[in-house]
Amino acid sequence: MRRNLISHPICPHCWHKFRPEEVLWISNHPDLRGDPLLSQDDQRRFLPSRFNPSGEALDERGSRCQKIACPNCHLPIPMVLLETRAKIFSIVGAPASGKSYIITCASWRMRQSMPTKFGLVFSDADPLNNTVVNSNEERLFLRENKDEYVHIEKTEMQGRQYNSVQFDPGLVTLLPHPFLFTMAPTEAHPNGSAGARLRQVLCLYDNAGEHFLPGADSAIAPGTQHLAKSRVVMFVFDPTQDVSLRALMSKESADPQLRTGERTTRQGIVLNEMIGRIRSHTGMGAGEKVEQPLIVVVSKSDAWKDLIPDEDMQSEPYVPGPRDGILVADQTRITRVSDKVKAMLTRMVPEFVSAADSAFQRVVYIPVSALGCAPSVDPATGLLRVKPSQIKPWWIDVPFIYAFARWSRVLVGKYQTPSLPLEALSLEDSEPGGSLGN
Amino acid sequence: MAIELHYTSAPRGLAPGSSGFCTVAASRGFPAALISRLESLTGYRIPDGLAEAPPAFSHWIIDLQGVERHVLAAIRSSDPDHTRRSNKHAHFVVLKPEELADEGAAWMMMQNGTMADCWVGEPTLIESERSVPRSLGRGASACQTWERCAGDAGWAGVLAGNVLRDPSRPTAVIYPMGTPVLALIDEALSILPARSRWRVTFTTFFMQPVAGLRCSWRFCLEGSEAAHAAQRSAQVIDLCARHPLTRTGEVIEAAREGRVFVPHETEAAQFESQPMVSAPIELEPEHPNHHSDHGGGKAGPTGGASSLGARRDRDRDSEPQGIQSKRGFFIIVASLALILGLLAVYSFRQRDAGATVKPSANGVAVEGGEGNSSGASDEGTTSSLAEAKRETNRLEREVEVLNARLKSAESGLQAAQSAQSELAPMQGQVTQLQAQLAEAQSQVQRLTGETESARAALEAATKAQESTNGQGGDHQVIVRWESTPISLPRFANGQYQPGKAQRLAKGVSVKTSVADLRSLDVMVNGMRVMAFGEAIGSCSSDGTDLMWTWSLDQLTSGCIDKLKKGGVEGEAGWKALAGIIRFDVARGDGTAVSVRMGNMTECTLRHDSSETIQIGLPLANVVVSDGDLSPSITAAGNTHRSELKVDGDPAGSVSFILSEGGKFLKVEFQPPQADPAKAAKARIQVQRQVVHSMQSDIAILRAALILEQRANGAGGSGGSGSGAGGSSGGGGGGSGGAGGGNGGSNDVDTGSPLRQTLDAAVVGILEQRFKPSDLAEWQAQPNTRQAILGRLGGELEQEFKTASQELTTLEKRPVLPAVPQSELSPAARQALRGFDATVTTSNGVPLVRVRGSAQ
Repeated sequence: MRRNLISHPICPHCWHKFRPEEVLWISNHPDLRGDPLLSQDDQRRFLPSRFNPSGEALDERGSRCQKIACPNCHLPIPMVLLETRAKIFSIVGAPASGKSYIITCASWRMRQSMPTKFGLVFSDADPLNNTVVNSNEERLFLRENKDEYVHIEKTEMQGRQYNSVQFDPGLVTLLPHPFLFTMAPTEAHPNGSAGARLRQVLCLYDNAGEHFLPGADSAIAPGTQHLAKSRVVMFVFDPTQDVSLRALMSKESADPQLRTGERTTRQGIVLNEMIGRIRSHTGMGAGEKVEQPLIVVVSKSDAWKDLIPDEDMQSEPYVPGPRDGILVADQTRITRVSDKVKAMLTRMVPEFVSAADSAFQRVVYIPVSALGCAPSVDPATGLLRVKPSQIKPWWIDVPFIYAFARWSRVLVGKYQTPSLPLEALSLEDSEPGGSLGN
Repeated sequence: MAIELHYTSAPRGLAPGSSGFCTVAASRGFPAALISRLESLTGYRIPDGLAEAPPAFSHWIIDLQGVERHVLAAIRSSDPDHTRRSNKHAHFVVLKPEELADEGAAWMMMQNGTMADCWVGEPTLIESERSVPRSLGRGASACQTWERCAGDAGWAGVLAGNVLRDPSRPTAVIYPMGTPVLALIDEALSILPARSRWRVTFTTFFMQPVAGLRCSWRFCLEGSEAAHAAQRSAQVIDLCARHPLTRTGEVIEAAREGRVFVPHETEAAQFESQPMVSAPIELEPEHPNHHSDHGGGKAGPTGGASSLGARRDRDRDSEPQGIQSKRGFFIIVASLALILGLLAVYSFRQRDAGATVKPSANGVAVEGGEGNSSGASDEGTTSSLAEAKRETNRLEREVEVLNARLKSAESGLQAAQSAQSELAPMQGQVTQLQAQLAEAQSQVQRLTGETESARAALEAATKAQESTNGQGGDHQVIVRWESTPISLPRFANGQYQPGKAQRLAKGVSVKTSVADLRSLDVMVNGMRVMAFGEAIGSCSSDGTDLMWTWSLDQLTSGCIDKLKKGGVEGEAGWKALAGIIRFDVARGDGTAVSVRMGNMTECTLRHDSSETIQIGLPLANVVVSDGDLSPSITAAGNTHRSELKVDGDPAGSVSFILSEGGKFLKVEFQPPQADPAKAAKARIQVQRQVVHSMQSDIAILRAALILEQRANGAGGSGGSGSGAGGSSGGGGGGSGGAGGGNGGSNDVDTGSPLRQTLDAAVVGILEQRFKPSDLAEWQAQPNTRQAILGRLGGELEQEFKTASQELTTLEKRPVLPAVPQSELSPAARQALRGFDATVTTSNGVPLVRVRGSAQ
């Protein structure tokens, strides 16, 4: 088997850039337990000097090893990352803005729709790292009893969604689990003949909202430093937490999150904190605009859809492409909706919109609803929860599809204006300077 | 007083701007570094598929800036937070050393009021330190919870035994929902000595390992991910399966009987050497049953004993006499302690008259003064009465323990008296020994002379052996002639297939880099210069010398290319000139190395089996292969002559293939060997001298022992006789003298000539054959010389037996004759031209031994 190694892979755990020959292997012999950076349960990492003819490293005891690890943090990374650079989509938002629900519903939706609608395989690149998102998908979508109330646990700042690494004695750093998905064209795809070359790895993080609050970025919890490495930044704006919007929405919606006395958050502060971190970790000047596109994911659109009554935010914005059976993103419609959402936010939260426009070169506003319905309050426990049978996500995968269509057309095509012919898919990224790269 | 911290999800936290999961309350002055460390330990999640999860009670030992802190933690689900999402509450109590109760962490957490289960209110700094329960002096009790949950209380002993045996190796316990886990831990801790209980870290709801934190006992909820992972570990107790306990051992018996297990000194020392805060914890009194079952290791149903129990029993069988001789002192101490204890009990009972004890609503015993006219309002009186009552209880338990010890000591005294009476009839034997001593006296002078001559002969024989070896221990190379090209299973006809090996190399790297060098093992003159996986350092060229230092990331291949000659300096300060000009390493195949080393004159290469070979090659290309030999053949195609010297012992594995004119030589390594016939004779000679020398020394030790026995009155008191008896019972083949004689009693005196001569000889033997501590003990403690001589004499006799058997074996060993080189086939002679070789045959196959230097 031939491997086309990339020059400088990035660790999805600690975002360390390294050369392929620096990668560590994870020993396999049971005697070689205990890694100095990890726990006594972890197999020791080592830089091999011996390989068998299959290219597998041999550890000190001669056992064949198949798994590799980052030379910096020693956490395991999938072998595919030596050949394909992960595209990090950073998802940011205040606590309780719905990030976990969006990631869960979007991954579930993309597993379903990518093969049938876009001719793409969307699968786990590393099932071990995706355990949490897979578990959440099962909670929401794979229940036998669809009428039994379910909920996703509040995202922790510690625990099983994080790996602890002891870079220095006594100093334990918590690094978030990355969710890694592989996207590759199938034979039905217009670029299906170049499937392996066009394979891409999508990397997402489900940070706790507390991580994005001012002061939460520290040496022991550097969980949001993926912002500096991300290709796309998605900011989840929750209108139900904004005081101005709540006043409008509460007249139209019975969503329990809009009840009087519920908590509100100044999400502009979270946005500014995020911008500050991106500048800090990338070394940008104060006047420079961030090159990565910002997608403002305006969540819980089922609760505020009446604020933009002339737009359909429920049906998918995809249209048939030049090849039979393959859809492309309707960029015209998405852009139109984006403009209207922006106009609405400009009226209600102008400081948020101006902060986004002044910091980012490109900003798009996409309304989504992860559940497609309002949650209800469990009288017994007081928790917000939902019945699986009621979950009908709105536009939940659109931010991801749109990002790939606009900034990396090799996988998803786009439909721009009715007057122009449909664009064929290209093997090259579009929009110079704004591509997602390979 | 302890400090505490509360962590939960709240609209506002203690730190400005914090919200959601955050610290909401902490004692004033709580170390900031400890806050972040504890926050990282608050992970808690209900396992998938379960509606609820048990609370996680934990005891952690956290190293904070060099100080170890004992932390009690309780994490559990709590009411939904302000966003109506799931929530948890974590409560941490950080204890000071003086607050560590003898009963252990689990007991403290089981007491009402120690751990909080929720936090209500605004974020705040807690001004008052948290009160924690004080020790009640509770002893061990039968592990009834274990019996109920696991079917056998002995499982608590298994758990305790595991942590004593290897504290760094965790034990997982898988339990079903509803199990009283904290009570299980409390019972298991109770059978450990008090000083050991706080060295055990545990958690009642283990989820995942945390870097930098040890968790000895991991209780995993059935069905959780942690439980699945635990099933694959070596040390698992599955309470769901309720397996019968087939292992036996004293710690298991202790768990069943409800007594404290006292580990052996070495085990205790190993266990206690684990880093932790040195706490002023009182030593747990030894259980009275501990001594009563000496030597009586109980056999279990399976007839075997656990390794721990078996080791203890073996150790007891060889209990040193010093312990037994301390019994008299122990009796005195125990008697005094008993008297003091009884007086204290009597005193406190008088003071405590009228006070009653009643249980409080929360189950903790509190003291009240119902019969006292001042009533419950007199808190000072109540407190002192409570204190007195606790002290009384503690002293009563001490008295019980001391009573048991006294009985044990009395029985030991009776045994000693009995032994003394048995020794009385042996006076006659003492007289006989005196006669033997006279004979020994006459032999000592002769034996001393013989010893000196034997030692001289041994040195001469050793030198002869070295000279016989020729090259002073250098390894040799066996070159096996192959008339046809070597057929390789993967690469037919020995042809190198371009691309295949290239791909192997390309899999990770084709260039030498700093990282490559880090993984290189380099041996120079038998010493490891660089350890596997460790950094080695920079090189700086100073004229013609190269210095290797232990710094990071400075060494590059480019730098190596400029080197001419190298010196090596290790971390320990030793220095060795190695004659290294360049070194390199191949990953997967040797092609790249061969190319890079095209102009080399000397090199060091890493061998397949992690040994390192020093090679001097004036004109040859040498490659190292790892599984794939064909590139080696190709690369070595122009080899003309070679000189190979092996440093290390590659144990004869295939290492190089050299080709010459289309023919192939397979080169193997073999440890150094002399001419077989001469080497065998020299070996026999040396072994004979060794045996003779031992005989002489044994005789001297015996003579000295006899003298000591006389001086001590034939065996002394107590158990000291066992050591002497043991040595004299060793018997066998020595020349130590029995027989009559008329040695006068004045020879026993320390100033007698015989005594002085023997003492000098014994000192010489001890210096030469035994540890310095043995000599120091012999010189420092004249009263125990008899025991020392008995013990060391026994050891030497065992060595003598082994050496004698080896000599016998050597003398019967056949010796293969050497084969002249002229008898080799013409083809082989042609191939070996230029080598300084001797030849032997084995099963018709010519074997050529090439010496370390080429002609």
